[in-house]
Amino acid sequence: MTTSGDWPKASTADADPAIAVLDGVSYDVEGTRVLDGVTLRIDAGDFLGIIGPNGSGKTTLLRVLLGLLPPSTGSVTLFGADIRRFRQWQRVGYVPQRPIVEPRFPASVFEVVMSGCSARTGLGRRYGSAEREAAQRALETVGMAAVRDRRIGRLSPGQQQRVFIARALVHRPELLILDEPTVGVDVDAQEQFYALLHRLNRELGATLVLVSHDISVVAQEVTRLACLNRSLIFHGDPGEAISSGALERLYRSASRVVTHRH
Amino acid sequence: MPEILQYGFMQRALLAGLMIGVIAPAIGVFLVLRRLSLIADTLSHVALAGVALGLLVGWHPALGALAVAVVGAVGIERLRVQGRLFGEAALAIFLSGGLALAVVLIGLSGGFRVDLFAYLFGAITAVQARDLWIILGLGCGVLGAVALFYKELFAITFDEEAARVQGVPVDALNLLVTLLVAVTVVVSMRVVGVLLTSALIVVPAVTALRLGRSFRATIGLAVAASLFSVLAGMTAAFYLDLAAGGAIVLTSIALFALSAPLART
Repeated sequence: MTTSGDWPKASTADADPAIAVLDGVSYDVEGTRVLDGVTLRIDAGDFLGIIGPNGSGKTTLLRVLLGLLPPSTGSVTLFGADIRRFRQWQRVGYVPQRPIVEPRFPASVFEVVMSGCSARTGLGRRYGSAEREAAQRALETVGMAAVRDRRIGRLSPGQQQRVFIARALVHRPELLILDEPTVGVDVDAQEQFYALLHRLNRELGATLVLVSHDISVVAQEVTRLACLNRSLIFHGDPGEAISSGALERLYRSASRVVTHRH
Repeated sequence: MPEILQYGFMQRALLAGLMIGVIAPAIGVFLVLRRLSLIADTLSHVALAGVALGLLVGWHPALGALAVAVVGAVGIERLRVQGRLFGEAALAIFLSGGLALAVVLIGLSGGFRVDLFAYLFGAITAVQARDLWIILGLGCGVLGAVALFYKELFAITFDEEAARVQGVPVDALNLLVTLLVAVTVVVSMRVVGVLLTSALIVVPAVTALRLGRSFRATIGLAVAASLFSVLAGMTAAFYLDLAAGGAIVLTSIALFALSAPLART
């Protein structure tokens, strides 16, 4: 893995260092409230972990944050702009939950990573050498340059996940959002993966939002922790989440008991 | 000069065939990968209503087909975006609705006529000079649109949600693809026939998907398979006096069958 030049530092010059703000966000599906009054602020340089049991609204929260779902109440602000008017998508990278790769989909690894340049290149414009170099650098960042001409469907789940991170990194986003990125990824690959996230956050200054149900790993890695179960139960320092009993409250009602004693 | 190239009608038919051979599979790869193959069949039935309308009111049937197919394409996309119907159910309504409208309009215009059969099943003798200009103009439009939006079309085909988060106008491009299918059906129907055009959109794309290692290579293979089918089918039609559309589609299906042992894993 090589370091990939200068990363655009998150906009600390702005008066408000908030990268993203959710203010009183609720989301209803057919009359059922799946998110309830979530207020959450993500600052530049944060590595925020969002945890919660299955069905706690974690993915919904991300989709609202990304403007893929309109909130039923409340507002979402990204880089100081209301999400409905936000257009600077090149500042945001997104790694969806376990993307379903049809194994026969005829795309090379390089083509998949290049597709991350759409926002930067502009509608109807062709990719140029700058985009190809950026894709190559992103593949090197995640350690996948050796397989750039392989078909995406032939890679292992862990390798595919790194390719999708490269796709999200290719335009050097200031905010990188990852939804359950380690599901189906073996333990070795997971360690490399968290080392990569750590480096992106500490060395390159990227702001990260990571959704996971794997609390033991997440609590070790992140700088901020949010516990979600339809509403926000806790938001703050990861150590405090354990000492304050927030984790216990989070999983008390969950049918599947997840306890990791430290 | 071989006999097949000596006739004006055959030159026009071959030119039209080459244009069809390029655009139909190019758009077909996007459709098949998004599991929307049935859109091609649906729009061809809708276009048939346009042909019947054109014959009834005295427009050029290709323009009638274009107008009705475009209206159908917009309607299909609106139903799909609303998401109130299951995807395929919306298509089934348009498919049978198009055919029903066609039958009614054909009845009103005095029943089946010879030129209607030419539109249904295609004919190499049918491409008039005026048809050729419509075919080349519309075909260049489809090719230009695919070339212009290639990277966005790849992005939404591979991962629609990730494309949306990049600010790609996904809904507008979905509509564009459906419109391009409508235009491709209209371009193809003169030679291949309105009932067989969907085969030329889908079959070479499926063949190429068995072989291609990258997206670009897959589109290239689909175009190659389709051009071979068009040329071989039209040559057979000329020398053996076969129905051109049928010969072209049978050739492309033969290529599909022959590609099985070469399929990559």
